[in-house]
Amino acid sequence: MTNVYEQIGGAAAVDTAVDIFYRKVLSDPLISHFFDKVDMDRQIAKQKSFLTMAFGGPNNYTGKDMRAAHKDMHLTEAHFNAVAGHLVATLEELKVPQNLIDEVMAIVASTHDDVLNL
Amino acid sequence: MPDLTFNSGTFSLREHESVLDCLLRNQQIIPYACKAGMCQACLVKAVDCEAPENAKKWIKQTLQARGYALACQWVPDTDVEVSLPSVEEFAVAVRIKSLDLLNHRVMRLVLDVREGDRMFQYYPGQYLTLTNQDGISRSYSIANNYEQDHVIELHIGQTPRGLFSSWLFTKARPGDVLHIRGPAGDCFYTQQEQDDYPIVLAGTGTGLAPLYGIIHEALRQRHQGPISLFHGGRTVQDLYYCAELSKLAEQYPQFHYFPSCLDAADSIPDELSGKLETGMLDAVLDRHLDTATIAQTRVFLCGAPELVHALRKKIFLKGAKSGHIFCDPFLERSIPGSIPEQVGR
Repeated sequence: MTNVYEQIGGAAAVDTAVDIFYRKVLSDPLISHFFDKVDMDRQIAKQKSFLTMAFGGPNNYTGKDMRAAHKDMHLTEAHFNAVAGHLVATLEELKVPQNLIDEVMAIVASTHDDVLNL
Repeated sequence: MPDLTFNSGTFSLREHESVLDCLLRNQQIIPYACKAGMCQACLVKAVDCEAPENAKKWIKQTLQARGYALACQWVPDTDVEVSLPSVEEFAVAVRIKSLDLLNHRVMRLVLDVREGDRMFQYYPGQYLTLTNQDGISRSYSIANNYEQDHVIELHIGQTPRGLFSSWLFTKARPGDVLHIRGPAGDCFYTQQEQDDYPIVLAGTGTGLAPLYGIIHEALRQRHQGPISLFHGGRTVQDLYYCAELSKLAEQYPQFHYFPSCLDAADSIPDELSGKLETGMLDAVLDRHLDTATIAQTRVFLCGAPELVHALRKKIFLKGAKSGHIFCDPFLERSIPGSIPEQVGR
């Protein structure tokens, strides 16, 4: 059984998705300021590995990294939901079937406590 | 704390201290410029030890294989010994062919690669690291095509109390020998599947150097799509190559030149009459950017880091692909007791 990552087209799909997703994130006044000071190349590389992980592709994700990356940012439920919402909208824009979106969002939900440092 | 051995001296590393910082703290002579892994001036060889991956990943695999690493990125957690690469092994000796002012603060430096020296491959828009006889290194972008001109052209801005530019503006003479290393950087023109995509280039001051090289390379390769150059300065005196660029725009219908300055000019040179716009570079860009073709457009940005990052974000949000935006931000470094010197081009 193939995973979401393979079904939507692997690394090429991630490349397409990352631009759409990152553009949505940068345009959202609730969260865009978190990205003002960071280098875009590095940020896009990080978003790519995040999407790859969320799609169930090859990754070396650890909850510890996710926790460290978001430490001291004072993130709230609203921030987490905003990013999750942009990801859903991205996948819808790419016409990914709903059952696959659900699978991706289940993985995203599993990062909730690490992202918010709970 | 671990020890660092260099040139038969041994120094104690402080916590989280890089090899480069430790050597500089101990008054050792080692070329360096950006301290950010970009310029590769601080290349060192690991002697009987191995550099960590993060100090090696910046350099070519052939160099990694020979034990080289960047001193600025290497924070040792065990005793290490390093040595400088031999000049003969890495640097190419060049001779200053000519020096002439392009405006009140920009020098055009033309370099002759000396006879008998091996030639190297580069793309206009990439940068070289120059070292003068005093051991001072700086990186500058290449403004021309070597294959065509058989010389290397660089544009060097005068920086108050900048060590390299002061030397260049006051002491350097044609015939002087410099050493160059490189090239590096990924801000250059490549003709891909098609030759009709739009190109947008924007920069301030000597940020024009790589853009000028890229434009000429694109035209030389008969690029068919529209090429738009946005060159900004604080005042009209900060612009240069205005006549050359205006002429180029007359010669090539696909090339468009948009000069601008922040302050309204008292008198406008003839070649800029009717062309010069006033305002922030991003506002000028906004007025002319074709959003209908932005998803296909390749974008090249060069200049002060804040400007490059702001323009990049803006153009990305307008719909350019992140992989199509090539940036060459000038890196800055503070020298204790002086105004920050612009290391970049």
